[in-house]
Amino acid sequence: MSNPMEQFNIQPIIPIKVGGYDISFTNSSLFMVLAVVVSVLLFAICLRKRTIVPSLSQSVPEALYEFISNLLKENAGAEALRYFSFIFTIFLFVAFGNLLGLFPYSFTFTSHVAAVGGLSLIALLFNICIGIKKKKWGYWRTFMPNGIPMALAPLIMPIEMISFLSKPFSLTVRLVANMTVGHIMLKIIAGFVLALGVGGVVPVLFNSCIVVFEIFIALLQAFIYTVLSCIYLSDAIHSH
Amino acid sequence: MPQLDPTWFISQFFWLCICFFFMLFLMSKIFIPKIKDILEQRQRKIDDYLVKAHQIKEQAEESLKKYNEALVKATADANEALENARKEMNVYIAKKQDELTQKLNTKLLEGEAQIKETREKALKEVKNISQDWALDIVKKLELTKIDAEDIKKGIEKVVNH
Repeated sequence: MSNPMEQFNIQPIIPIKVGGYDISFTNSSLFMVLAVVVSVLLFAICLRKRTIVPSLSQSVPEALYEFISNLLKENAGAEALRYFSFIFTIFLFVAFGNLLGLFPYSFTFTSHVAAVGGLSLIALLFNICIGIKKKKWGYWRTFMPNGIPMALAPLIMPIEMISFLSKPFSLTVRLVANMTVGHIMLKIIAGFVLALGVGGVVPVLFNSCIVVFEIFIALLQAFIYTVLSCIYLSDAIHSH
Repeated sequence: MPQLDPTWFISQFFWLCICFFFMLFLMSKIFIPKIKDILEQRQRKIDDYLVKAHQIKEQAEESLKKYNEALVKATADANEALENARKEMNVYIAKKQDELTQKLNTKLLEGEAQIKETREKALKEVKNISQDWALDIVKKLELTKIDAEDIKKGIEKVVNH
């Protein structure tokens, strides 16, 4: 049985080095590009012919738009709709990253700390930029909740800062852990197929069920990642 | 764990930024405006239809109101016409009744006059016949003291009683 962690190994495809930094195009990069290409192609095909009465294919991007739009409105208010593109892209990027990883011999970049952490970092920086743009110096009040005496500021502010910075960390760990565990489980069970010979049919059936479950998990995790991004965005827009 | 191997952190972050921001660019500049546009068009269409439906409803209500008013007016006119006709009819009937009564009275008077005339004629004849018979009886009884004038007076007296 091969090592179930092997599937997470990053293999360089096109080695690139710039200024001493290795920015090679890897299998992880390939699947990031594929996530973009597939989602863009899907949208391009679905929105090729747009009609007032939508066709089935046109309904898919429209339903996604409405779904994320409502999600953003519910969690961050109508004001946050200005940043809809960002949240929508996060959802699609994570969802397609998760789903593409379910294909055999594919790579799940959302199971990597660097990729998801990078995305969370982008979201965090985005929220900080919005917060500073909107509240100017008042943004620092984010780390000082209302009603707390100023005397407690030296104690509260570091705690709030840690809490604030732990948000992208928790986002990252949640998604990475879910994706990693799901794929390890799939790999381990798949390993039993050959080992059990004819009886291997049982792990095949079991794996089929898990794949369906993993599809659900992939979408659910993308949803959770998006909801939390919306909530963090709401914190940046609104007062503490 | 390969996930924690820092060798590829920079590479992954670099490609993540390229892919994510490229996707963000495509979504925000091409696809989202397309979806937004079609949804807005649909909403406008729905709103237009709702406004039209509202206008049609108002027109229908206005028409119904006018119809009801016309119906009330027509009913009032018809009632008035019926009342006038009834009055005219009553006047006509009363006039005809008067005429008929007058005619009947005339006929009655004529009949009475005719009866009176016939009666008088009959009485005259009865008087003449009685006078002739009485004269014959007097002649046969040979009552010379009673002449024709006495008989006439006597008969006149009986008849006038």
